[in-house]
Amino acid sequence: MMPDIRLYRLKKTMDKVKNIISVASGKGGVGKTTISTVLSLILSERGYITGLLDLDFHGPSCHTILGIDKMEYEEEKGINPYKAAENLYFASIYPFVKNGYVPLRGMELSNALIEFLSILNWKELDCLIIDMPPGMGDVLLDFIRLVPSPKFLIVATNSALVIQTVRRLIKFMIEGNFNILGIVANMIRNDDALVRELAKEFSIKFLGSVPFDQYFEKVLGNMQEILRTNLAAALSDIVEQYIKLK
Amino acid sequence: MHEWALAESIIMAVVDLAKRENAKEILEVELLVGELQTLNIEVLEFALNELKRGTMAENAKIKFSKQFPRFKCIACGNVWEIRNLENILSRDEIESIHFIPELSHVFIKCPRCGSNDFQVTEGRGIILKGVVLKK
Repeated sequence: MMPDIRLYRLKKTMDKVKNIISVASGKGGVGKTTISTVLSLILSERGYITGLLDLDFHGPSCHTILGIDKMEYEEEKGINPYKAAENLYFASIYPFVKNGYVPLRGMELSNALIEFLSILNWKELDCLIIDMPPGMGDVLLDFIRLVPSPKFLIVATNSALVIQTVRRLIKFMIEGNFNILGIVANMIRNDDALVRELAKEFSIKFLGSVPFDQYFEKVLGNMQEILRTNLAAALSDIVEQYIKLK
Repeated sequence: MHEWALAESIIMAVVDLAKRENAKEILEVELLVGELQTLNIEVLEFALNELKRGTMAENAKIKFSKQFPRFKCIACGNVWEIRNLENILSRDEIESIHFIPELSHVFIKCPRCGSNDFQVTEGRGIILKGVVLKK
């Protein structure tokens, strides 16, 4: 059988990344995109050369948090991720599809993921933050098959509906020996007990609670204001304590 | 245009294959180019000839064959072929598909029922069809 040529370049381009943090949940609507995007802003502000990759092909939205509307890739034997801020490089399928809908079935999602990962020219990155789509479908399965040594940052809210799905994802990751950085309780109003219990149940790190921030919606698109929110402050504490970059 | 990226992948793939087969040299590389990706074959060929220098594929003959994209609608079963994307898509749309052929689902619809739910059965992108090695 002839090899898939795309995988060779995919490996070469990912080899330039020192640390990969994949923000996953299994459940939609828990704030993965917010956590990934703000995390990338915090790391880049701290001077780390950071990449942010939006892998939610059905609903890319990191660009909205970053306030990027008109975005074009520079082409150079592939495509160069977009310089969104000092030290921050961003890639998403958004510039290709704009506001069009993206109806893709399993194998097509797989192919789109491989194709996209193999054409991106990442710089030497200290850290690549990946916003994963919800669910445990083709993108997650191909991602863990193809991307070397990602660490998973799991996001959950303090809801029984969310916890039962996130529990399945954690089981899957533990059984597959994947590296779990820990779990973040997101959109917390006063109680984060269910997420803490889940962390304890699987002996994974509870990284911290990120408050529900009513103000966040108002600062969407303004990177400097986002960094001043309570949400960003809570994530900054998590970075300080737990995200040690090689 | 990412023909250079593809050429780089092709050379890496065939050299790896030759090493795994303990071959002394790569004599021929055969590529099937699906036209949905609108690759510029001249640029691809130029890039391959530049990048194969100093590798086991240095003297390899590169053969290309082309394939028009064919589609099968999952909703109504219609089968169709597109010979010229420029007749139905804008330059930007063609460019998006050039980078990620699956984005054809965003811009192309079944001409019979209008569904985006189709399979690309042939001519999606570039495939390494065969490699002739000297052992």
